[in-house]
Amino acid sequence: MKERENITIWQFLILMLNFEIGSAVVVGIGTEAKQDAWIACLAATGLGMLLISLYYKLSQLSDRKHLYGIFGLAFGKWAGLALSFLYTVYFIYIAARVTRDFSELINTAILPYTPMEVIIFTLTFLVAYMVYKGIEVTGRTAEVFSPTVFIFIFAIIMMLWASKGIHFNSFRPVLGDGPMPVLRAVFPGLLTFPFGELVTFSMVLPLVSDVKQIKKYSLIGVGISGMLVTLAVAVQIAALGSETRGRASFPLLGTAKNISIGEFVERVDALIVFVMMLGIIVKSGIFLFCALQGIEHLTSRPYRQFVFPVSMIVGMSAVLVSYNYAEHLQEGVEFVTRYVHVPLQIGIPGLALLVLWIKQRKEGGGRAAASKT
Amino acid sequence: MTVLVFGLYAAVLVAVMAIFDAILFQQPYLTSLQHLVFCRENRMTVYFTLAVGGLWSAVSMYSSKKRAGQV
Repeated sequence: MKERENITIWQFLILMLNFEIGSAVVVGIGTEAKQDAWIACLAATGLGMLLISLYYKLSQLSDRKHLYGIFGLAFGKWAGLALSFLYTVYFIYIAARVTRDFSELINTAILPYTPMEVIIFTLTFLVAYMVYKGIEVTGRTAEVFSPTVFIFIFAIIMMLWASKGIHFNSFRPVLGDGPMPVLRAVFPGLLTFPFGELVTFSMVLPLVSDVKQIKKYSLIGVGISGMLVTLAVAVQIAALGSETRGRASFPLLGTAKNISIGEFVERVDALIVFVMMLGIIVKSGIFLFCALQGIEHLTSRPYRQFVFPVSMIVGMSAVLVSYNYAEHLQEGVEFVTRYVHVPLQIGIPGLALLVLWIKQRKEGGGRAAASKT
Repeated sequence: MTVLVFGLYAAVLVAVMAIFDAILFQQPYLTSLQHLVFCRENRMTVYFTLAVGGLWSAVSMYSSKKRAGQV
């Protein structure tokens, strides 16, 4: 018999916060909008709330089924299975990209002479073990380490303030090039990364024990994480200026290197690595969990059998996905965002919602007609 | 079954990544695929994945059959 896993609403919220801020606070996002990137982040947060409402509505209309079950319900058995296969590949691929982000950061910041393969496979084994133990363990891990992450983020901002590294002039001119650069940064860039990746939470939603609170906490989660991402982006702009930020691979890392209090508190970039480490572990873990749920759905076998083989595929793909970081970013920004994220995060779930809604209306109409006669 | 699923997903992932590379670098698909799997830096990663993943798949398949009393 399949065992049912459950997470509390608090664990759900913490998972969502870590998932969202994980890599988004460290890598440069919304750079097209230059000094107005923070405005773009705020706008994307609002749209992110709409997206999570879409995923919640899908779950509600399908009687709390996960994404793969929803596809079967909306598009029929065979199309549902084909989409489940497609999404499983997608989740493995994104887990690999997230793992690659982490290995690039570690290579840049703390272990420059360690081969990337060693970093990637070490992280992959850790994530695989966590997922093997179940989503509850992932939730508890996030719950235990999150306070430290939030303290570190605020400590970095305070230390930057104390070392006079914040320059508010960097925000000017506000909307100097008009609203178009902001809109270009929001869609598809910021909407799909980090907010569109919440499509994975349509797999987590059915596992939350407190059903009544899900909608409220989903919106709160997206709201808080959006604010934190906006804050991180604003701090990066204020500390580095929009031009330097646009060129930096890891702007928050560069920001932390500016910290110097009394020539004593310096080189606090290890804190940034910690923030990203937890985020990546949670993010990669959730993507891997979603992929494994897909394989369980397709093969009707417990997902734990596939944890280590599939995590090896994630590790291998993380190494093979690109030859260097520049190519990794180019593929992520120019290709994956437009041709992979938009259809899979917005297009297909939106279509599924439309189909389910029409089916429900027809059934409702049929039932009403039957009760009249 | 587990070995089959593992192999299928590994093959599909590599095929998909080769498509992305071929489009990004505007080069023939087979060149991307060949470079992805057989170039010197990538070969060890592929062997490692196949060895660990395949071994785990075989062990988990054997242990599930043993539990079911088929071995």
